[in-house]
Amino acid sequence: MTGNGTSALRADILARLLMIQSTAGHLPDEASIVAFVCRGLEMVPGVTRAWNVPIDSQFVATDTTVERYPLRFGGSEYGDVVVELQNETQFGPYAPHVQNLLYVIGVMLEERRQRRLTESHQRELEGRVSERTQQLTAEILERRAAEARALSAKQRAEDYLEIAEAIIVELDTAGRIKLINKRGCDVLGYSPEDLLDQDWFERVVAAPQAALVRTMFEQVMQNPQPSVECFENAIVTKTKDLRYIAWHNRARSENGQIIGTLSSGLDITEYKRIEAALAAEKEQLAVTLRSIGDGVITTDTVGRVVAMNSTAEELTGWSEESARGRPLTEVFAIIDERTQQSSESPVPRVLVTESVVELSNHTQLISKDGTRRAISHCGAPIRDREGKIIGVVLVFRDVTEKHHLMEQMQRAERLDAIGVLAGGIAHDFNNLLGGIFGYIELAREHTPTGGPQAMALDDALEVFERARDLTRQMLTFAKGGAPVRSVIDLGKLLSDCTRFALSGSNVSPQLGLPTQLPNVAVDANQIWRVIDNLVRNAIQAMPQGGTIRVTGNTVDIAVNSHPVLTAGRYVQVTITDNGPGIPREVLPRIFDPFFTTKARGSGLGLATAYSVVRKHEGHIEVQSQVGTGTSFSIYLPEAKAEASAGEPNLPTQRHRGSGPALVLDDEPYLCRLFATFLKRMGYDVTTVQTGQEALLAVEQATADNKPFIVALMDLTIPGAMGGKDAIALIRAKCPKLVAIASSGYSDDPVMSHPTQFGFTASLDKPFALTELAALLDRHVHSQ
Amino acid sequence: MNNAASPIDLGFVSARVPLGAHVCQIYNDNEERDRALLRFLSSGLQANESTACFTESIDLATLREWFDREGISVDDRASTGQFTFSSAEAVYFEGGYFDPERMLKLLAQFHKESVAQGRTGARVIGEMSRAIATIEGGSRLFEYEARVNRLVREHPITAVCQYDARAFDGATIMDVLAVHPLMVVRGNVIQNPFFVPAETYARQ
Repeated sequence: MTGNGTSALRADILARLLMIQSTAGHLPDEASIVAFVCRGLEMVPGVTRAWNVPIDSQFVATDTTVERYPLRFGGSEYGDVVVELQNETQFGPYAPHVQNLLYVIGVMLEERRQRRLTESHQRELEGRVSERTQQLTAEILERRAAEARALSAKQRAEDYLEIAEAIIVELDTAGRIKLINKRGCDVLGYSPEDLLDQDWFERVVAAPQAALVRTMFEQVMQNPQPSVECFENAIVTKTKDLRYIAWHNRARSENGQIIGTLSSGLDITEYKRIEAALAAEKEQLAVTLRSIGDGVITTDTVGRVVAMNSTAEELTGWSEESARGRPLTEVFAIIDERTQQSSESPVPRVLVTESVVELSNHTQLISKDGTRRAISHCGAPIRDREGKIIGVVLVFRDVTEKHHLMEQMQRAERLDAIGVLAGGIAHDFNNLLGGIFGYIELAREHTPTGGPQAMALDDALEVFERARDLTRQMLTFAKGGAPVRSVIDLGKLLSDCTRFALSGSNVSPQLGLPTQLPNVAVDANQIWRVIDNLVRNAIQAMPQGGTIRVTGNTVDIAVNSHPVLTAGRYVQVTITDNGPGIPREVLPRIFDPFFTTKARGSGLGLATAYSVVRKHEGHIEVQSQVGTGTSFSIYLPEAKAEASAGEPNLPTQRHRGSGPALVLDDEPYLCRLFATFLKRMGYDVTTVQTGQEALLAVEQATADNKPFIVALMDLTIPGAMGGKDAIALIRAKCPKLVAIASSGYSDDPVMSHPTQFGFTASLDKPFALTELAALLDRHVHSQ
Repeated sequence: MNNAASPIDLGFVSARVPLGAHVCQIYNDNEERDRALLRFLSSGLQANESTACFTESIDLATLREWFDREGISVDDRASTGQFTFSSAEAVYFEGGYFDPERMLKLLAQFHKESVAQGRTGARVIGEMSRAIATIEGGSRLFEYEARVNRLVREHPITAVCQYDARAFDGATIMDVLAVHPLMVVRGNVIQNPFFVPAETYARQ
């Protein structure tokens, strides 16, 4: 305090204000600073109290004097510091300092605020940095984890590529190899370095397909597709081997741009080889099946048709396509030919027995169009690789022709057996008949015509003709008699014979014979009798009259195409009537000897016809339909030579001769009969019973200079030399001898070709006097 | 007692203070606090003064490590009675309350022992805990501090009181200044312009 009542500045007070300013900076916050300042201001002279008034609070007026000092800086306000003065005079000198102090405090507070804001911002920034750092750290960790996963995935992919069985190839848009895995290198035989950046199509794809494959590749490059369908092509390995690969391709793109292809390929070379082998095997099997002459049908285990070959198609009338899947019983309809009842399907038996099953010999297959065929067949199981039965195979063949042939053969054998029996009987009969009727004939010559004796003898001689025909037929049937062939115009014979047989009947002929029907070399007499027999049978089949159609034509028989006939050209003669037909059960027996449906038939007509035709290397067959008619067909081999003008030998006038004649026969009564015949013709007859005796007689006659003119010689003499052997010795001494071979065995070659054995002619026993006369008349006078 | 009135080196400021100085250090930096404490103690020990430390801010192991680097064995000094270390609360709030008389007796006893030990002086540094605001007897803090000013006239102990500006409000800090004749400002010890002599403070 100063003495003049004005206050002087005190240094300690100013120091306090400075200390307030200095110390306030140590305080942590604005409130503490303001409180510190206010407390410090209370230590300024004249001040009783100091406090802070917040900016938004109402100042409460007091009775005391106060000074207000705002705390603000830079737009920030911290309210006012209100100083309550007790003594304004004392305070007055310090007021400017207080004002300065509070200004500095305002600055300090603003600095604190700014620092706090800065710190806040810093903390916020640091927080954001920390947060961002954490995010980045997390992102980095995630990225590293993703990279690790990617690396792992890449490693796995590389491992997959390494161990993959498929070839993996990446091509760029130019077709260069950008990646190929181990399998690809192994197949091709190259290292990756050999292949990378090489042109795939030039280096790897086989030449024939390279251009096509490249074109397809270029199309994909121009018009990318997600996936290119699989295809196969061959590739060439380092060792120039071809490998076949099945490819699956995929176009690769990045950012919408096609960058190449990724392909995976499987080596199917072995598969292709097996496939080709299987195809070849299948083709071979198919060809084999087609080539098999037998019908083959395969079924599954429930009897449905799986496959069939062409023969089976032909025999069943079903195409494989239409039959497949149908029950076997529908396609393979079989019956027992004896009962005409359906036969059971062979499939169940095969499946039950699990073995090959031979089926009935009396089976008939009924084709789709109703045709019936005799078949033989068998069935066998079809097994898979494990031996399991997966179906049944049926093999069958048409044995209709075979049966027919068998019937023919059986018939021939049967007829031969009967023929042997009948031949023996007929020979003996011949001799007996020859004796009986020879003497009847002699007796008749000594009996005046007109009386009852003469009439009886004539009747007896008439019976002789019938008896002799019968025995001759028996002999012809039995031994056939070697045909005395000559080339004839068959057409003329057919025409003459038909008209001759039909004369006097109510049946009209219908001849369908070509003008140039080929010639045949036949025994005209025998063939005449065959035709005559067939025509007469037809006439008898049509008692009410009708038409007989006789046709002729040529047929060519191929090798093994006919059960009986050999290959060659044949003249086919067909004689057809429109009679009642032959019942089915009768038909197989009509060629049997002694089988007849006629009240007075001998049963030898058709048997003889059959025998004669067979002796001519021909064939005769019959077709008949009850209610429609019957048709006989005769096949005779064509002859190349021209026809002769020969005619069947018909009876001629009686012969008159003279000179020595020799009769050789072991039967004394026949010797006497024949001698009588010859004597009546004017000959001087010597009879002998053996060949040796004949030789002696010939020698004697020669020695007496009375050689035999005629010799009638039995061919066979039981237990001694027959005429067949004697003629060879006699002919040397008697070249002009008219030697007639006589035998009851008309099948002896000597009888059909007597000149070849030294004879002049032959005469079947029994013969009539007139036949001997005609023969001698022809030959004796020609000498 | 060292009768010489030679100024005392506080160790952490360049200026020396008179014997029996009662100094306050208002700090807001732990490093500043620690540096002052350690240097104060080190200076005292090196000057063969009885030296005491009452603080919660540093432990004995840290002190031992620090003094080892100074070539001073804390344990040895403690064993000779030259150095005393204790938690501030254990000393100031013994029994769970603040008792200025007990503290004053303690200081007087400390000085006596120092004299008895033939020390060149006695110094003590203590940090007041913020718990003083709530503990029983805490309101007598400034009374205590004012009475220390009178104590040191008879028992010239060099006392440094550390107050954390962050732990007390500004008004309290101003009150602290009012009872300490010396204060540390920016590394210097100055006469505290706010100091109120003990008698005046007692009247107020």
